[in-house]
Amino acid sequence: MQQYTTPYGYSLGNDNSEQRKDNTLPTHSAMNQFLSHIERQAFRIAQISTGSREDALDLVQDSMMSLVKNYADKNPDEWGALFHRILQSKIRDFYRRSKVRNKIKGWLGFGQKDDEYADVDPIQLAADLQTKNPQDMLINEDSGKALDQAIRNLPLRQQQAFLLRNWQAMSEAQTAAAMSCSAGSVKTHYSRAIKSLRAQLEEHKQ
Amino acid sequence: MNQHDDFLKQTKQQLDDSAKHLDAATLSRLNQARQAALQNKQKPAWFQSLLIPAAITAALSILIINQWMLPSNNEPAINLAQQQMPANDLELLTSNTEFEMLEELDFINWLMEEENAG
Repeated sequence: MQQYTTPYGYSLGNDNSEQRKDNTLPTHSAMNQFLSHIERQAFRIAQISTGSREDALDLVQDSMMSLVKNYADKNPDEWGALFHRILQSKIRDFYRRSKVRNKIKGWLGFGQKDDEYADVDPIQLAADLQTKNPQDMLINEDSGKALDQAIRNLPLRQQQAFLLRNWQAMSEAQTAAAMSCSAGSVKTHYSRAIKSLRAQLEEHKQ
Repeated sequence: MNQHDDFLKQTKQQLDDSAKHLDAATLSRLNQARQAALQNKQKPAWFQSLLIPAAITAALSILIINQWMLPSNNEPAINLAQQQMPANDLELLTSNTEFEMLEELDFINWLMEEENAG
């Protein structure tokens, strides 16, 4: 049985390329294996972005259904990138549905941070009002929670770039496809995310 | 290894740990979501491709037949005959013709003729 390893580091166990097209059991098994591998990280990405366990579960389920329904016949090598693209798209939609809430936050002065964001939707910039300052997490001294909070404090684009580039080990091109933006934008968002996170977490340590 | 790489490695490790230590309730929900997605995939392609068109066709047929064959509450039955329902359209919609419906059509046509003559 030929091992089939995707760029994201998981093995599907066998090459399904000849059997995908007729929706036989091996494809089902391969898809099940893929989803079981990715579901935990997908949930955490959605949870960090939305700040809500329930919303994150909904987003992950919707993404799974969309992938299975529309892309099960694609090369398994493409499933990872496709799934992340679907998930990130749904997370962006989630933010847009919260647009009214975040616009109010914008009016309260949590909006634009610099000129480059002048034309950007306020939801891309607004931090969650319920967000705790990472320094507040000193009480708990849980660096994992502090990291979650620091990532959630980032604009959505920076969150996406950081989680996909660093955690999911996706290339700039793959991340750009998932985020529906250019590779250059990914590079910018990623570098800004790292800079911001280091600053927040350094404050947390002090 | 420089501080930049250390920072990235540390954050990645923390995120990996957080995914590894999800609570049982969340894992159960994720499992249910995965099974639901896979079960949706398992429906045969022909089932999914024909289901919606068949349902729409059935609904339209019922709607059209009801609209043409049953008199409205505010209109006398004779007005129904005045709607000039082409026989060929009826034939297209009701391939399994019911004689009772044909007899009613004959009666309506007779009424029209009587009215035109009188």
